[in-house]
Amino acid sequence: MAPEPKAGGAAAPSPAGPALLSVRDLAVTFRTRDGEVPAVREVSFDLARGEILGLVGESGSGKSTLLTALMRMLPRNAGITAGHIGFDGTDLLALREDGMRRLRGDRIGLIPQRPMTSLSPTTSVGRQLRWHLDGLDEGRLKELLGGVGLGAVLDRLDSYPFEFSGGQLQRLLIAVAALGKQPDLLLADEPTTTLDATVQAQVLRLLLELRDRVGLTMVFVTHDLGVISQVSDRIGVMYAGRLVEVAPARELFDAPRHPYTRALLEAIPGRHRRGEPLRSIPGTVTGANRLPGCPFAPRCAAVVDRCHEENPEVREVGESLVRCHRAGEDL
Amino acid sequence: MLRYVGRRVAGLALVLLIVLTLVFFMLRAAPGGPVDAYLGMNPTPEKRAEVEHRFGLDQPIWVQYAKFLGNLASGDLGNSLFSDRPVSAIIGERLPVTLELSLAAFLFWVVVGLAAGALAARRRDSFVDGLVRVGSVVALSIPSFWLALVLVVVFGLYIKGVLPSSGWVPFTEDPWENLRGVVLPAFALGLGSGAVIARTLRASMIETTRADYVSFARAMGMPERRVLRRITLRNAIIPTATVIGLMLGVFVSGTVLVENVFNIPGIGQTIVGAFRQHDYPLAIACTLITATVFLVANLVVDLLYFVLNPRIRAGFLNGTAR
Repeated sequence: MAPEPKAGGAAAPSPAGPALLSVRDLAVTFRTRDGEVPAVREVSFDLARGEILGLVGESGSGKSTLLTALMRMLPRNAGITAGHIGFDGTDLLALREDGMRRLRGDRIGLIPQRPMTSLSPTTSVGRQLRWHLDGLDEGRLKELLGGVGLGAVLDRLDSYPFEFSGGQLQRLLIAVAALGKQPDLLLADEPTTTLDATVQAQVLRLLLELRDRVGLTMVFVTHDLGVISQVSDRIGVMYAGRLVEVAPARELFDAPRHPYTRALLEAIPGRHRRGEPLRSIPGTVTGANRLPGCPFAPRCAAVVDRCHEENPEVREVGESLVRCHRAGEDL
Repeated sequence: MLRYVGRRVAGLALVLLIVLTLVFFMLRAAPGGPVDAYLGMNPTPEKRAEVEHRFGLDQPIWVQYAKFLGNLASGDLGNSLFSDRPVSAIIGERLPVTLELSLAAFLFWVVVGLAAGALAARRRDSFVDGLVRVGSVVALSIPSFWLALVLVVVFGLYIKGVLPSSGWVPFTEDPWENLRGVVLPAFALGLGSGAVIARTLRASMIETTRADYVSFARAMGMPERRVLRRITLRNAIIPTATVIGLMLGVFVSGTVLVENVFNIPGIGQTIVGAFRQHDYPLAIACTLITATVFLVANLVVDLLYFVLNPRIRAGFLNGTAR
């Protein structure tokens, strides 16, 4: 793996092939009554074709905002204030809205977080499938629904979304957004969080199956480390709008480099000895994105004076890219 | 579905009966009476007694009520105490006038209200949106009778000959004049309702724009116009339909003021005269008609809901709804 030139914020090079998606120094800011609030800061990463990048972080860490920014579908009070998004040779931020719209769905797909509310409640499901997939005939429909294990609902397509279960709807959305459209890049925004545990497993299994069958390139956002370890080739850890560590999945779990990653892993129930109380990370993330130094400094176990003053640059440690002053030290 | 409609119609009949009973007793409890109105100042006691007998008012009130119900059941609304013409004939003349006026106002203002609301929501925070928002508040604050008076003065005194500002020409006599005559009263009658419709649609469209299903459709690359037509409008129209239904009542009751200002011979003008003169049968018949139009309109809106909202429809089909 050749180290890439570290332009600006330094990127997390993808392990294989040319990057399909290349994000550099991306910053997203929300305008609120209390002034501008940065939601994503100096985020850089590359994604190769066929690769699945998991993004993990607490609520409010900016992972969903990052996905929305990649789609250029930020809410009215938010904007991309810096950076560059390259997608298959196109500069996404330079595209006009109409050009961007043409990419959505066909080339960059999205699996939403809440399947239950992601289809219009007043139109039948079958009709909505036809909205999104032009010239959908019976055979193709059968193939798509069969592909997500929904063959049984073929005769219920004139029903409305509320007549389906969350798991059925999510598989339906996957059938449309992933199988039907076959986008080059699929963004999945916590696609399993609103589903029951057993249904979660079904949907995850389906996504993994699709990865093997169709070779999906995917950014998978979740706050569930258990889920992400099953799905991803590489994992990015976000904290207060920053990508604090990016590493191959196994590497991240075996040798977490950033104190935050370490704390996250220790907080997983079942990873520590029986009888010990569950660990949590002291303090909260609130306000961390306004701090001058490292955003994790107030809660960090390995904090030194420098952390409060200076935001750490990205460092390469083994196969990991870490934003920590003490990365590589044996803590 | 049919059972539901049947139950609603039965309920409607009950409401009408209650309304009519209330009006029946309230009219008689009110000070003064048709005899005074009919005979004028200082009638002789003999004359009084004679007229009271003729109107049937010398009988105990319960007997009067029983007779009224009996006649009502056989469809006989009685004769006007003053013109002695059958009340049904008077209603037959006047109802079409009021219906034409209400319907014209309703259609015009629903179309204008929906268009303005949709435009404002689509171009949120633009000049057009500001215009619709400010305009609708102003429109809502203008009482319809005041607007009617202003229109009468402006078109009657200052810009004469453009639009008739008073009176009524039946459609069968001169269709063109009839339509010209509807313009001003219809405008005054529905302005406030149009504003409410516009504001409701705007608010519910903006609300809908934030829905997950709109984001998903956009994330699938659906063009904005199609998102608006197929998804935003289709879902935002449901709460707006409720408001339009409520506004129907305003269109019917508003004719009382507007018809009197524009001197239009409809139910609204008749009802005022009938109550003032204590013309019991005519007053009750007018009440019956107004209440019926209002209740039927609301029933239609509820049935429309059934068409617009698949969730309610499914509830009926599998029996989980009432």
